[in-house]
This record gives sequence, structure tokens and C-alpha cells, in this order.
Amino acid sequence: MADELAAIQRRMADGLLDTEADPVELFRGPPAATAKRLALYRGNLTANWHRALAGAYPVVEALVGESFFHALARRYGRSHDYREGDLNRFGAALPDFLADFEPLAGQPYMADVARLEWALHVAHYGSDAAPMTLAVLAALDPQSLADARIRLHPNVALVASTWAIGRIWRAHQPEATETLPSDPRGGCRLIVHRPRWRAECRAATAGEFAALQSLANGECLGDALERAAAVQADFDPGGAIPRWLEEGLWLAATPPTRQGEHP
Amino acid sequence: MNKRQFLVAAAIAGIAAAAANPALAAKDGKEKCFGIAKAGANDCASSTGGHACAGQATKDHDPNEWKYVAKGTCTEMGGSLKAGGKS
Repeated sequence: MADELAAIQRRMADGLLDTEADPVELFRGPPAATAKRLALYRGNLTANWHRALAGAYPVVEALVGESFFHALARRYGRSHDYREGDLNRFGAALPDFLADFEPLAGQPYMADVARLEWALHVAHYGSDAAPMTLAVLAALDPQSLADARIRLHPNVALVASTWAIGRIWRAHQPEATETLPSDPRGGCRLIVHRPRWRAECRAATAGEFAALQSLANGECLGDALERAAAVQADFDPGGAIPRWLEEGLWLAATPPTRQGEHP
Repeated sequence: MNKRQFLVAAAIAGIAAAAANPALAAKDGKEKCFGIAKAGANDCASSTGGHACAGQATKDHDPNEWKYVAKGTCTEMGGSLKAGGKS
């Protein structure tokens, strides 16, 4: 009985994904009417996919246009092994999907734009955890500060690209003051964060990016600052750290472990 | 003073200066928060109120109905490119 139900559900699900496989025999009534209703059901499914993706990827949608995006949503939904109950998570695999999406081979920056948008989307729905305050750091002596391991706030993402995805993204914002670049080439390093309610991204210097990346990899603050100075001679930790804290990029510091006590 | 000590000293000076700045230290994190809602993906109701479900008017049973041609703002950026970035 359970097997039979599972088979019927499987047949129905396959029919929603494959237009050639209408499961009309599962239903009473004239097959033509059933086929029409199933087509409506499929239309709803695609429309829900479209809306879920458009919520997370408004700039990708603007870049490719609505009809292309609709077709993309259908292709993604049908090819994607989707096990997530939350449609807000539905688009998680889109950046990788776009990287191999043949119709966009001429727009190779699209996957990185999507990576940036997904990071912003995740930050939007992310944690409200209180970020670290200056007072916490001000209380540390120099050695403890150098040895501290800093956890970045869970809403923070570091996105680097060989394409001008920051400019492309900003040109599509409602209050945009920049226009689209005439050529999408040109790399950038971006910090995604959510200062309070609104997810944002800003350009990072090479030093900032290297330091935050190093902290994200679990290195201590002393190492992170050295990495920053190695890629950017004028990197100023005295200006950068208060700025990062003001932006809420740091969550907490793990006190340094004593030697021989590595976790 | 080695490089690392120099960097940590600079960090401490900056942290101390910022912590002593009442404008920063007393920042209460209040900001404008209107216009931040994102359209939810999980609600079934149509935002325009016409249908109970998003795509109700759209039938979907043509497997090859679409030729992919990007027609959005990407056409403003130098047309078609090869992958690989800063070439």
C-alpha cells in the first residue's frame, strides 16, 4: 500500500517535471481535460520557481530579461535535485548552474553576479546575532590581541571576482548613482554584510580582503594583519579594525589557547 | 619592533582612539529601516491579488517553447565575451 502510494506520487512528480509524461491515467475524467489541468499545475510550479529565484537574483533577472529568466527558472528547477522545503533556499545552486549554462557562455560574469546576489540574499535572512563591540577588543593586551581568533559575523561574505560585479550590481540598485560599465571586465573584491536590516556590499581594499579572508580561515589576528600588509603596503590596521567593528563584521573573539592546548 | 608588533601596535592605537570617541562608542545602532522587506518566496497568494497561486493563468506543456536570447541590461555591456576575466 505504501509502495503503491509512493509510486503514484513519483509518477505525479515526474509528470510535473517532464512535459512528455503527463500522468493522465492517474485521474478520472477525460484525458484531454486532465492534461490541461496538469499543464496549469506545471505552470504554477514554474511560476513559483521564477518568483523564488527572482527574489534572490533581481540583478541576474534584470541582466538577462524576464522571459529568459523565466525559462532559466524552469530549466534550473527541472535539472536541479531539489530537497529543500524552503523556497528561500531554492536558488542556492544557481551560481554553479549558471557557470555551466551554455546559453550564457557569452556572459561569463553572470555566475559571479549570482554569487554576490546569493551572499546578499543569505545575509538578508541571516542571523541577528549582536556583533562584537570595540570595548571587547580594547580590553585585550597586545599579545592576546595578536593571538586572538576572530569569528566573522555569519552574515558576512567575501566575494572576489575577475569581473566588475560590484559596479554591475550597484548600477541595478533603485538609488543607483552609477551606470552600467560598458565593459564587464575588471576585477573587484567585495564585503557583503548586513549592518542592521539591509544587506549591503562594499568594495574592500586588497589588504582588508586578505585580512578578513585569513580570519575566516581560522588564522589569528596577528597573522591576518601580516597577510594584509603583505598585499597592501599602506594597509592601516588602526583604521580598518574600528571600521570593521562599526560595520558589524566581527562576531566574537575566541581567547587564544595556551601552547599544547590546540583544540 | 618587527612588522607584526608594528601592526598590532597600530591596531591597538586605532581601537583605543575609536573606543574613546563617544560618537562611535555610544552608537546605538538605530537606523532607518523602512523599505527593507523582500518579497517572500513561500507565500502562494499573488501579489497582484488576481489569483490564489502565482502562475495560475500559465499553462506549461510545451517542451521546446523557448530559445534562450538574453534581452535584458546585459546587452548594454559589450555583447558576448569569452570566459576568463581580465584577458
